[in-house]
Amino acid sequence: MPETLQSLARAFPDVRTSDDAADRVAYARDLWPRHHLAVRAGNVGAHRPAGLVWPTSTDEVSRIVRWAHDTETPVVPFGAGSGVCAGVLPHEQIIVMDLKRMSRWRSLDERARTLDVEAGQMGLPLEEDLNRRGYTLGHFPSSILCSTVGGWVAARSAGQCSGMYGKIEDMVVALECVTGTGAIVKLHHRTSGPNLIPLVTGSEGTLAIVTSATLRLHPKPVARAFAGFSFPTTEHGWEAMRAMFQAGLRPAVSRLYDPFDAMLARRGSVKKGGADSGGTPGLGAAALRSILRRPGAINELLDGAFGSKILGGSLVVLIFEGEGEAPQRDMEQARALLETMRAKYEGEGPARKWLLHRYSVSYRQAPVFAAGLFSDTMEVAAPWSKLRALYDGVRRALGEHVFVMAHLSHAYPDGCCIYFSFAGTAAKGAGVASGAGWDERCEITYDRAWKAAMAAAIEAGGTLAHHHGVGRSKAPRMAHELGAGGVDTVRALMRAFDPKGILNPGNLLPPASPEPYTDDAHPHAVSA
Amino acid sequence: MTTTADLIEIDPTSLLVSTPASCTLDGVETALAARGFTLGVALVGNASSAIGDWLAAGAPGAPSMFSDPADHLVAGLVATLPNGNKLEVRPGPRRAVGPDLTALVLGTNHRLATATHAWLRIHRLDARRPSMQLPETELDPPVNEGEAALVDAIARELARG
Repeated sequence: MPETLQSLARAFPDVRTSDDAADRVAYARDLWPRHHLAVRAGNVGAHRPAGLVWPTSTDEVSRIVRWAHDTETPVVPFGAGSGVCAGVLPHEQIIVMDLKRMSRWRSLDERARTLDVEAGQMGLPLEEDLNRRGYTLGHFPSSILCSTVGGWVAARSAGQCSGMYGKIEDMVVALECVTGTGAIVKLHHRTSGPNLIPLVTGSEGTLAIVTSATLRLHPKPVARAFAGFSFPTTEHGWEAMRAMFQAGLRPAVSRLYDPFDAMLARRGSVKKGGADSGGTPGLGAAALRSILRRPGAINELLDGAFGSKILGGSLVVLIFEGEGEAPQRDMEQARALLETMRAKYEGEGPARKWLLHRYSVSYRQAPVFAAGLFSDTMEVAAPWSKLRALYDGVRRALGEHVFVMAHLSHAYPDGCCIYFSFAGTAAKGAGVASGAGWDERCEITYDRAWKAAMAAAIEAGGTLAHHHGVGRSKAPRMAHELGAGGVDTVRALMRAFDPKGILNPGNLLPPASPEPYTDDAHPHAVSA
Repeated sequence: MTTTADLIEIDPTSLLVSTPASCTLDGVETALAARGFTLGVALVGNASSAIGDWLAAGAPGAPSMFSDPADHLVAGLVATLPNGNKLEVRPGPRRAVGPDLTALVLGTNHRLATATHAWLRIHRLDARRPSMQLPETELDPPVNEGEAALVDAIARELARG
């Protein structure tokens, strides 16, 4: 047993801990796609923590963090591990704290329509239990089957119905958390006074460990209206989305697919899927490999006017929900507006199909990796006036290295998120060492694509992340995102909340070294 | 003579106004109205407030963020920190890049940061404003001991050079 965990286990004999080899491997990472390459290369044992601890109460979290503070032991809070940015990437001295044994509902206030729920509550059971009581949270991330309330708050999660209910930060009325000294603090939403909730929300485990959240609830919708509309180009589609949101319409779901993504949805070529693309192209491995040999040429062809024409244009899927006739009335208003903007009504089918398969995206990545390729997603955002530059810039930057497609699924009156999905293969030629293995060469392509895309997003005036967070994958670019003043400010917050820097160290901000990634894909033997 | 209309910049595509924090609410509102826009806030007793002071007071008169969760008031800002350094939050509809640093300005009464410039949401004068019906709930409880200690610690750290 590693010495760190022995010490922890001695200090807390009543709290469940583990240094089991399989547990340590299971908690060595989140779902950062770059790490999948390392796993595929056989390097599954890297980044194992010293051990795991499963607290069952805020008091236990507090006592453990006090111990960690006193012994200067780093601690990483862990929800369900669905992060995709290496927010969890431990090492042999780190204790991972899994919050899932804290999943109780503390209080449902039906008068105020709020729920105080512990951080380890999983997403789907929460929503299903709320539905049985006539409520909805309105938060439906694609990861809802494998994510927790605490994880949502920590990463500033967004759900599929953000157009009506907002992101998670728009739902939090109060937060209970444990700071880096072990202090238990209840933060309250406040307008005429300091509101510290937005500081902890999105801090990715670096300021405090969220132990419970009081969330605003809504009546479960009793009526829905569905529609799909095609447009000549992607830009026609996002102009329509802008018009809707600026006219005061708030579709729960509004998703715009670029022509290639829309073609997959229309032809139903995505296995078990509908129009909810977002993870990987739903093509066979052989077709993908062929496309990925020359991503630049294919991207250019499909993204141009010719591509739009042969693929059938872009597709917007809309769902309004609420009570009585309101959803249908809103849909009629939206349809009237969109039909003045070159929309072609495609019936209810695309939207109904999307709803039916809304979470199937989570299952599309594994076959791509199994085929020897890789895939990932990048969700950037900008004001509407910068959207064209953001779309073109990031698409071009990614497109030089990987096959790319896009959809827009989180719109607001002042701007929008663009969700790029991409798939790539092993690099070759200049800059690739002779003798480099396949996965190592995939890693090279992956890094080239991300570095180029992040630079392009900043250059276009966009933000690096809309809802996936930063983790260690985007931390090297945070100085560009926040500016020197912003980075210094976040560091000051870290010192204020966590004076010894024990909470998820190395996450969120650039490391001292400029190298963003460790070399992970090189195969290493697994040892217990 | 320079007027507020000369100082503000409207992004009609994104429905944002870029304004120095020294401009007054009614000055900005008047300049916006001349172009067919409004901030959409109630100007009761705060019309002569400077934008910076109004944000520091928590933007009284603005609709609750819970009434239209897809919308928000502040898209970005520039602020001065207690140590004199500059903080810039670039305008954006939403982001997930760490703590939301606008919270250092909103409602903190200049204790943690002072806005010098802001990008605020504007609305067309004739636009429909969606509003969810909210049950009565206490959204402005007194600052508790733990929060006060954190605010003190943040102020102390932000004051460091």
